[in-house]
Amino acid sequence: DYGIPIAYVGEDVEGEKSYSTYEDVVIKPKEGFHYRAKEIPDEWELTFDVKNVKFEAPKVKNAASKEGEIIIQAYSSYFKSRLRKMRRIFRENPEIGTVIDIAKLSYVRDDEVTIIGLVNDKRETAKGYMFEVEDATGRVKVFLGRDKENASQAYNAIMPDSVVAFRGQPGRGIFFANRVFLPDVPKFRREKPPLEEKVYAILLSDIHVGSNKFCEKAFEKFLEWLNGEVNSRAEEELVSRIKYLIIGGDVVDGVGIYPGQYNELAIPDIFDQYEALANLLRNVPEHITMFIGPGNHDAARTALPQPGFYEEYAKPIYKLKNAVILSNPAVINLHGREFLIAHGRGIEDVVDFIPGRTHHKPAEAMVDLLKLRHLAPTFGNKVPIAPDPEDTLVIESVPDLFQAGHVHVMEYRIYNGVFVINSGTWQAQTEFQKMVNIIPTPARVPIIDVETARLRAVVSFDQFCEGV
Amino acid sequence: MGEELYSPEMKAYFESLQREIDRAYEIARKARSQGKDPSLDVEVPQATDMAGRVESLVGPPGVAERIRELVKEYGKELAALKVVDEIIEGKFGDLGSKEKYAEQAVRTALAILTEGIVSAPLEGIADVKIKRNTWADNSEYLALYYAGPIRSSGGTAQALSVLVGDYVRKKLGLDRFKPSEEHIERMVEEIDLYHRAVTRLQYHPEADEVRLAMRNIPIEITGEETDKVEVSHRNVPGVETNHLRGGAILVLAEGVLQKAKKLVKYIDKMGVEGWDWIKEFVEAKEKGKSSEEPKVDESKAEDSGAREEVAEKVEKGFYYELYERFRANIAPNKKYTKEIIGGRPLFAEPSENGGFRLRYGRSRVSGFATWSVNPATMLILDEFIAIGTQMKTERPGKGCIVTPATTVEGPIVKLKDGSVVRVDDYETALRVKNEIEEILYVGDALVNFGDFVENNQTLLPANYVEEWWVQELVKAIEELYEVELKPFSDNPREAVEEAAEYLEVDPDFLESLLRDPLRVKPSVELAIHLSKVLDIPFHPYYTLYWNTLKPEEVEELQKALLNAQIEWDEFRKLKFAKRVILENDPQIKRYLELLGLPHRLERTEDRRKVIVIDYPWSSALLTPLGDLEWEFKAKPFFTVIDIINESNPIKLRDRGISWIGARMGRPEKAKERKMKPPVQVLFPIGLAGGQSRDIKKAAEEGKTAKVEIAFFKCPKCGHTGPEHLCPVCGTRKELLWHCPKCNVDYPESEAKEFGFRCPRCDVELKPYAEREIKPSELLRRAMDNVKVYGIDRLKGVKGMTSGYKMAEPLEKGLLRVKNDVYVFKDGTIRFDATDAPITHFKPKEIGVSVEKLRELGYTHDFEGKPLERDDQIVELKVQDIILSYEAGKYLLKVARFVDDLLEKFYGLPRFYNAEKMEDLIGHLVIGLAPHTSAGIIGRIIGFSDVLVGYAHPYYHAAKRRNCDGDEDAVMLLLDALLNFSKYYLPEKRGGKMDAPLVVTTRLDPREVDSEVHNMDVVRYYPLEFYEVTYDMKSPKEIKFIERVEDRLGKPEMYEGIKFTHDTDDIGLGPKMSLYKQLGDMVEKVERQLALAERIRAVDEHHVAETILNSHLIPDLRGNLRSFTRQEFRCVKCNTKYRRPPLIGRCPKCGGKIVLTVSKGAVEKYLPTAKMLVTRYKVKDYTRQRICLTEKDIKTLFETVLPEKQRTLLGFSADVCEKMIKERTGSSNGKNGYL
Amino acid sequence: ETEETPVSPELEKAKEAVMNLLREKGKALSHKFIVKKLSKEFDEEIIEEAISQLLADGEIYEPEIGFYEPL
Ligand SMILES: [Fe+3]
Ligand SMILES: [Zn+2]
Ligand SMILES: [Zn+2]
Ligand SMILES: [Zn+2]
Repeated sequence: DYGIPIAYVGEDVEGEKSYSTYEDVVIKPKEGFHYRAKEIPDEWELTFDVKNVKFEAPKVKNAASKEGEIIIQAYSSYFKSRLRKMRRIFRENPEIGTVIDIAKLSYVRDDEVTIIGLVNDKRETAKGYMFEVEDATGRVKVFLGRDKENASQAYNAIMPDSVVAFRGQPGRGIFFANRVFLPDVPKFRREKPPLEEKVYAILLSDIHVGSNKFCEKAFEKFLEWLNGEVNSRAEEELVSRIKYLIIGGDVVDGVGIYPGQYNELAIPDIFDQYEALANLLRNVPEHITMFIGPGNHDAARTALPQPGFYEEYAKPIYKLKNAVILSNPAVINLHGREFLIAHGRGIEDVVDFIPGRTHHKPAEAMVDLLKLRHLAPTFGNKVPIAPDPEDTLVIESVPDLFQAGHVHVMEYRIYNGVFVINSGTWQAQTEFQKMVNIIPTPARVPIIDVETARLRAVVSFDQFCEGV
Repeated sequence: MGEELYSPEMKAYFESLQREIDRAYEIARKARSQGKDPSLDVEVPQATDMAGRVESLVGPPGVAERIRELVKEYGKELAALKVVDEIIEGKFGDLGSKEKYAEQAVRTALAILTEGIVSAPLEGIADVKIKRNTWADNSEYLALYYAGPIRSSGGTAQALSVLVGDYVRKKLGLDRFKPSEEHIERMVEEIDLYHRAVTRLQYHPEADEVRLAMRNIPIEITGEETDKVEVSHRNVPGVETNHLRGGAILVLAEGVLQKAKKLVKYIDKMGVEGWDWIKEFVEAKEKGKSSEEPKVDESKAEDSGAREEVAEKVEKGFYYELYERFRANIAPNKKYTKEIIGGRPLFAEPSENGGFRLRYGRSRVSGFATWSVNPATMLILDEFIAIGTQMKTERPGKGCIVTPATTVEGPIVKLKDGSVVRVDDYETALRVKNEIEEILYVGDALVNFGDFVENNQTLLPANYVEEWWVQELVKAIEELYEVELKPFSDNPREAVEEAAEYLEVDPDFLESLLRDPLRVKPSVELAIHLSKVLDIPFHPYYTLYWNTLKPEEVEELQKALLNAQIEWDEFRKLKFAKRVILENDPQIKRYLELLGLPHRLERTEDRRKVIVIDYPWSSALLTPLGDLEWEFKAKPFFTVIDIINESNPIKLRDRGISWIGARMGRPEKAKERKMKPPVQVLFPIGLAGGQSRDIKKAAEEGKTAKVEIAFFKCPKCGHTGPEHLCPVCGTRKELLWHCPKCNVDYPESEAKEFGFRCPRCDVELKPYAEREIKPSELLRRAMDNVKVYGIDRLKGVKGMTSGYKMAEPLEKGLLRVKNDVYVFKDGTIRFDATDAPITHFKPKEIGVSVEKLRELGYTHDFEGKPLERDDQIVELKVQDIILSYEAGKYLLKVARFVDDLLEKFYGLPRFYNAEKMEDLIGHLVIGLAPHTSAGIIGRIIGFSDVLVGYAHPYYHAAKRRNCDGDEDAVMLLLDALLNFSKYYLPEKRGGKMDAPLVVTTRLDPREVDSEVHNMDVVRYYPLEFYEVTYDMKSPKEIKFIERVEDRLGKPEMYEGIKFTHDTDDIGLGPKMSLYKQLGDMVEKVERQLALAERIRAVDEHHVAETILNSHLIPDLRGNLRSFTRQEFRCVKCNTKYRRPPLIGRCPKCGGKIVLTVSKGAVEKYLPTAKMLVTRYKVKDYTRQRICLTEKDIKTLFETVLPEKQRTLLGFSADVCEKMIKERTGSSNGKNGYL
Repeated sequence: ETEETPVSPELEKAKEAVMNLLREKGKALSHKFIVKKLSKEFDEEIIEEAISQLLADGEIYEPEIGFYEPL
């Protein structure tokens, strides 16, 4: 359910359904198939997981404060923590110069200073661009002339509530900016030491098990392939070295995610959906470590960030021997390379706010998020955000690879040395997608060379997916 | 036209109304001419007819006369086009540009087509433009810009507006609109999106239908954005918005496409060319239907083929065959059960036996989308239905309101002590109400035949009822004994005596039976006698619901009866059972319950329980079974009644074939209108008045207020201020026009010279400016003027939304405070009530004396007898209304306010001098419905203790309402004339709706909403009708029931309307729906389900599931969603923020920031939802949604709020814990939330 | 018991008339109606006699006291 706000309306829930949870899908590794990866030692670490964050309870005046007050406080500290984290990021940029609080602008004479704050609002005027910027001390109007460096690109790239820096002079009730800075990622990055042996990782997301549009046949083919059912020597090399499999959310279709979903579910039962998923995933060879994170269709907190799956509903996947459960977002270090894994709901807001962005080209939108160093900068649009006292959606350290899903279109690009990829889906076009003209790219498997954090190959199983 | 259209009595009636109207206008004109109001004249023009209203609403001036002539010559539709011709030909003056001509023509034509009542021609069309096909050949075309309020004109008029637009286009010599693929796909997307994201469309067209329409409609249907929902087909050339264009969407989907068939009729009638495509479209659609239908038939024929062959050999019982045909032709309609709101019960599942029993007819207070039920039914349904409560219904229409009729059957209930009781009267209902275990039969629903016509719904087989039986009796008497008698009337005594002699019955009894067959019932032995000697079916009162049982069950029952203890008696040597005592076998007892047979349980001497059936029900049970003289044997293809009729001398007709389902819709309403927050004077006070906008408080605190307001300057002494009249020298002041740029004021006369532009800055001048006012000064002066001092408060408005921002005189506010009344945005005082129809009343019902009624022109009762007693039934005159007590009390205050206003503000004599409610009788009101701009004059003739506004169906139709749950307003005529001003109306789109821009003085049934023309007007439906319902025909084929339509254009359209079912009192029944008296959702839902469990025709599990899916889950999910995307608000200045400001306070005023969606709002329905999934058998899917939602809410706050203590349910009892345990084998005990 | 009862042509005619009336209506008719209906042609006594003979002959029966129907 993305792209379109949906008025909640009642739905019919009629008729019983019969379905399979894939108990009968049992695939054994092909006899004699040699997995090189089995012999390479594991080297992975969860660098960041929301579950490990200790949130500090918001400070309220007295213990008897009302719930509403506490929640307001939590949301306030959420944005304050965002500003703090972003300031830290800006500090690494040598061009930034002296940063001062907005409240202190009136003391400044003619020197050029820098302010850093959340953008409340932006608009275009005849001569340039007006912003309202806010930090913990106050708010100020900022004018950026059309002629200034990067002015129009930056104007377009700035989403509400994202944090940017302006360098310039304060005027009467207005700040005249000469330059604008997005937090961004550095143009160049230090090269990492090479690995002794090639290892590969597979990136998946949006499997949507339980949907009547889930490409079950294609997924089974994929599993067979992982078990050595390959078509060429080249594929054999690939499969042999696969050591990791990362799934970025929407692993099942869920129940009650959107109105009328019952009619589009093959498995209208949340327990059985995870059961079915686990029955499929248990066929992933044991030496492959799986990282599984939640998305908006999963049995998980609906608001971002999502700490994990509800264990009692998703028990079967917690029981998989070779699976590691991630939060959304999470950062995994694989052999010294940082992989940022998010489900990617922020893409929806990018499409809403940044001109020229569409659901069909999610990697572009992901680059926009990377530039703003945040997975969902805007509050109050499409992305639901929980009242956590700390903002864990800030992209604090620059990853080597940034994976998201959610929009069901596989696409990738490289930005300032970061490999950005949307991992597509295993669900064929739904009725709703048909109506709003979204064309998914199901059953494509991107394979990543961990050493370079770049794409090694894409293997397609879409010929086994009905409706493609 | 006109003169001979009414009888002398009606003429006198209309003349007396007009006299009263003139009197009020004269007073108002005197008051207005003093110059204390925005306009020197009364701002509510009178119109006698549609033409007058059209001219008043949209113009052009002088058009009314032409419309009258043209309508006379060509009829309404063609006249609309002729008017278009004449406007464009310039007969009504030079309008300037081509676009202006087009706009005027479209608006006037649409106004004619909508009778000049709804505001659609004014507000539904935002603009008319001439644009170019830049993407094609750059030719010129016409574009109609629709706005949201176009909805109010209804689908047909919407479709017609397009037709009119095209006609205008051709007349102006413009080319067609040539949409590109982009234009087409944009509309395809918009219609889908609107349906999904905004509101469900009544008709949701297929993409290809939209494409066809877009390609072929020769003008552009476009409009302003109505909903902040973005489309993906953006920046389409010529389309100004990337958001949804609700008006355009409605016109295309629910107008042109949904009403295509009707449109074709008009196209032919109006002779508009170039619309062949739509004819083809309709034909193709019909063909599609019929080519589908045979398919269905074939398949049906196929699978029933084998059976049919057998059927040829085996004969079928009459009712068996009827039931088969019924099932094949009329499927249960589940639509109304798709949504069940918490606290608003389902009363019967679709077409379910035991639900509402269809009874054809119209009571004095039904018809026109209103059902009557026995007041006992209202009571037994836990008073969820009160008088005026809306129901959503299975058929014939989608909804109705409910009124009482004591002459239809009430419920049959089983009590906790095991007895079964027929509850046909209010007293019995009150007695048994708290003792009910099961509602076996809900009771009758009296549904007007006209409603079947209106909705073109196939007639359902009539259930056997007294009004049918009495006609069979009359017919048999005539055929056998050659005596002509009439039901439902007084018969010549000789005829009655003769018939009585032949039949050997008491002539007095026969006479009263004929006169009032609904109330007068023969004894059971007499019923047997009549059936026997006249060979007519058993009287319906004694006919049981035989076909509720299967033949095998009756066989069992008969066997049990053979062992029963039966006391017999005789009447004229006819044997009948006087008492039956049966063993208390639960199965047998159930059969008796299902028959609807009254009985009771009794303990015998040896303490056994036995079933006792007393007279006359003992005979009602045994007579059809031949007093056990023949053996009842089940046989295939025969219903119980078929088998009885084969063997028994006394025949039965089925009393329970057709059942209708319904659920509660909106509760009834009768309440004064208050704005939110309530307002007593349209005077801006800004923030100075605090949260309650209290001018008194601001004055006391000596505050000054900065508000946008119009000021006036005295041409004599130069005084400026918000008053129209100079407080210093009494001169009428001049409006100050203001330059927003250089801050200079120009008096109106000067401003006019400058063309309302600032001579210095060339900026458009505004009639208002932000100015400082001193409430204390203004209020002091106003108080002195009207001598009102000790008031608690005076509620103004924060800011004015009108174009001129003229404030009302504070004096009006003071007098409103004094009299405890509130003002609406247009200056009038309103009372809202649910519309309810009434065609006949008894004086005693409405608290008016016979003398007073005679004065008001009521001289005879409805049967032509002189009016002498207060219990005679009188036909209501079409513009007379009966107010609820609540309305009476409030309008009494309004009358005092108006009198005070006349006396103290305008210095004129008091007018109403009303001490008590009754003093308002004979006074006039304006009735006005939302979405319309034309009011209708009404006259108060009485009051009823109900929460509805009773008035003639015509009167409601004149406001373009039917009675399916709509509500609208009345205001005292003089209040509207004195206080209404266009200058107060909001400038925004829709601001002119619901304002009395014109008032109709004389009701013409031909010019009201045509739905009412389908109402039938007869005393009873003929025998023929009941017989023909067994054929399940279209109601259009029934020509022998007179409807309003048949009387149009004749004096009888005003008088001599009849009804089929009387009622003891139009106010008998619960006054207020239980729904309004219940507390939180848990209580509401609990009561609703307790009722569902009691009603045999309702499946409570289904109800629970539907409440969850259609109400609770959408609310829970929706609130959860909006919580995490909510806005934040400053408590002090009400500024909204997308996220909380970082400094923690309001940056504007330092106020505290609060949530706009609280945690409580998210959770509020969770306990109810959990209760439902705990207690009822709902789908796992539904239960999981609730448990997941609970978890979602819980986890949302887990980082900020300490975990809440479980309170209501113990850990092991929690339904989610239990489910998880069951499914996973373990549970950590942390899943329950409550 | 073949007693000599004089065959009254009047009575036969009345019996015929009663039978015709009953056949015409096809349903039970009340005594009073038959008498009244045929009173122009026949004396009341003759009609009474005709009815009782028809009853005795088994041509008609009495479904209810005072009502007659052809067998
Ligand atoms: Fe997804
Ligand atoms: Zn003056
Ligand atoms: Zn100026
Ligand atoms: Zn504030």
